[in-house]
Amino acid sequence: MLKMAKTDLDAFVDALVKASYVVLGPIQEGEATKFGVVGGEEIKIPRLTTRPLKELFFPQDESLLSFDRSGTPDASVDTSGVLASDGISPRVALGVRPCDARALVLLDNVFASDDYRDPYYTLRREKTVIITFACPLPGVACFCESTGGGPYDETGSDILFVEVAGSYLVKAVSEKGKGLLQEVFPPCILHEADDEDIQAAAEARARGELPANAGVPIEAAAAILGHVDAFGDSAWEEVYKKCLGCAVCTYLCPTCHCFDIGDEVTGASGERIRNWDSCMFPLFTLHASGHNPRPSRKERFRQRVMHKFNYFVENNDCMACVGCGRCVENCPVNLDIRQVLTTFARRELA
Amino acid sequence: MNKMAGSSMGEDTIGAIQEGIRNSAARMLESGEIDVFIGYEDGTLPLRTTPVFITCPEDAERLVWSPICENSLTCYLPKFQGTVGVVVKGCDVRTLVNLILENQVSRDKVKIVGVPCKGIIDRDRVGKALGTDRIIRSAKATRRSLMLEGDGFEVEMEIQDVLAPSCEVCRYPVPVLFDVLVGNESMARDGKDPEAGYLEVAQFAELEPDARFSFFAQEIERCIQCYACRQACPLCYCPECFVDRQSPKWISRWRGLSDKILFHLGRVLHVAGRCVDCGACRRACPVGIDLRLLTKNMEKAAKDLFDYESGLDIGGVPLLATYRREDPDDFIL
Repeated sequence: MLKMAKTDLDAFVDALVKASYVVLGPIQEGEATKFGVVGGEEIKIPRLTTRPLKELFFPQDESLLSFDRSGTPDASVDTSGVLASDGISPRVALGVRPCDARALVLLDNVFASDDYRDPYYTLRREKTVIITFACPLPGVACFCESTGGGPYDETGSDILFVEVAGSYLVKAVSEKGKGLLQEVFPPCILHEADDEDIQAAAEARARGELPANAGVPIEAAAAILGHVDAFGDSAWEEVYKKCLGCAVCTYLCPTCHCFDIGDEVTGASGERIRNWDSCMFPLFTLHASGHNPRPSRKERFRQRVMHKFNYFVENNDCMACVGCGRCVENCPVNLDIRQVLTTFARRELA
Repeated sequence: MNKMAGSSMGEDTIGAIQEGIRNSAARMLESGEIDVFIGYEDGTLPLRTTPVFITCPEDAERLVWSPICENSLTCYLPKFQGTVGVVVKGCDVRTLVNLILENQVSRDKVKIVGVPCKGIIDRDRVGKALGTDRIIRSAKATRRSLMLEGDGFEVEMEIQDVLAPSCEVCRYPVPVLFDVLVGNESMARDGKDPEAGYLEVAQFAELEPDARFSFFAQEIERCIQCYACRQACPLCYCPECFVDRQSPKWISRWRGLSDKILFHLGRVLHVAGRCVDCGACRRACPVGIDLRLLTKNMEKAAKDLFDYESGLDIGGVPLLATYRREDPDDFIL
């Protein structure tokens, strides 16, 4: 275990930059925060960024390939140029919270599984070292512990920083993390932690892992949602009612991963674009015939809940939720997924 | 989960209004006048209430009123079948007047419970006044002040200091149309002169075009196209928004500053002469884009060019449905 003064955080970033890493950390954008390139200016680590970490790997929009049909009857297709333009430099994502790091492991099920490896996502994943900062102060919308995570959870992290009295205790979680620390850091920033520091970190961890945000009965809800009658349950009639049908919950979710693909063409050439899509939008399932199998907000809301807590579980043995609370905090009408899950946990289906 | 308890506000005007709402809802449901009552109940977070749909008179006890009842409940009305009772503030009822004028809601299918409004708290302003990353664990509002508690702090704020920007310049805090007015007009804040509301846009209009464009480009660039502004807007009720059309496809979702601008300008032009500055779009935006600067500008244009204020006259004609020979047209040609 290593130790670093909190005031050395900017020097730490400088050392990474000097070693030719692109350093991505929380940046302010208007009134919101998101992950972007940092370095040179003082870094502030917010409790949780407004926008999720996922967009460093699965951006809101990206070009998958470009094509040109001018002069040839068949289109000439270029994917290498598109891949080269992004994600080739080694990167470090820093100031990540444990929920966001854990979400990447869930997304790996979709984009980096044995069945299918998405080259765009996996390249960025391979090139990125995740430095997670343990959460000293979970917020009022947080429920990470209910989903199996926690403010000190190491899942998905390569290095974990734990704040203790003016210092960070630095733990290499993965081989990748260990490699980065060995490669980059001069001993003037990083020191060996002593027993006292390690004791203090353990105490902070014990204090932080109170069951305060562990009270959402997700397992019970997931069990009910797995019931054959859950899909047609009358409870859906009530729980969706105040939903406005916007995409705040899905776009800010660190695990929502649905996308659309379309071509943007000018003349004979163009690009194939992948962009986030949301099951909350009517267009999401609108058929070419005009038929929509999810005609109202009720079916769309049900899809979101069922996908996270039932279909994803059936496919991947884990739920697609890390309890970050972004959907709870940012919903314009305070439609709280924790309440919805509690409602279903209490349902009795024959 | 701590939250602002609606029922513990004592014998002040907030409590009286809350009682009035509960009684009206229970009475209307009992008599069968309405099928459902839409109001606010306690939310799951501090500084939040949440819309609630009440169908049994006994459940009227769940209804609350306080300066954190921020949502514009009229956005639920166009798709409702049956007869609905709804709580409205001064701004909300003006959106309802427009919905009625535009044949989206039938006047005889809605029972309007009006609230004389003191203004609504803006959560972003509270957060800024408090300092970032101080987590509010519980909040309690009285008529004049807001008490906040968190880890190691207790802070009291004047509600006046953290009002939503649209409430600060609100011209009609007392509902212009209602079946029941709970409380009385003296419980509302004073309406402001319209010029007060247009000050910001007037100042902005004095900037050079380049400066205005770069400000908007910077704001709109941040848009994540979640369309929460559109969905929260009581007057955005098109069954199919132009941005959702596939054939022809009006906008792309790819790196499109110009596409994002097209959406926001399209929306704001579509609510021109209709928007009442309820602030729902600004509140719903998860990345804090100041959409009011656009909508307020259209409101000002309607006032300056046609001396028209939206949503005041149930017997009137919508601005864009009228034509007079003397209407100014120099801004078109």
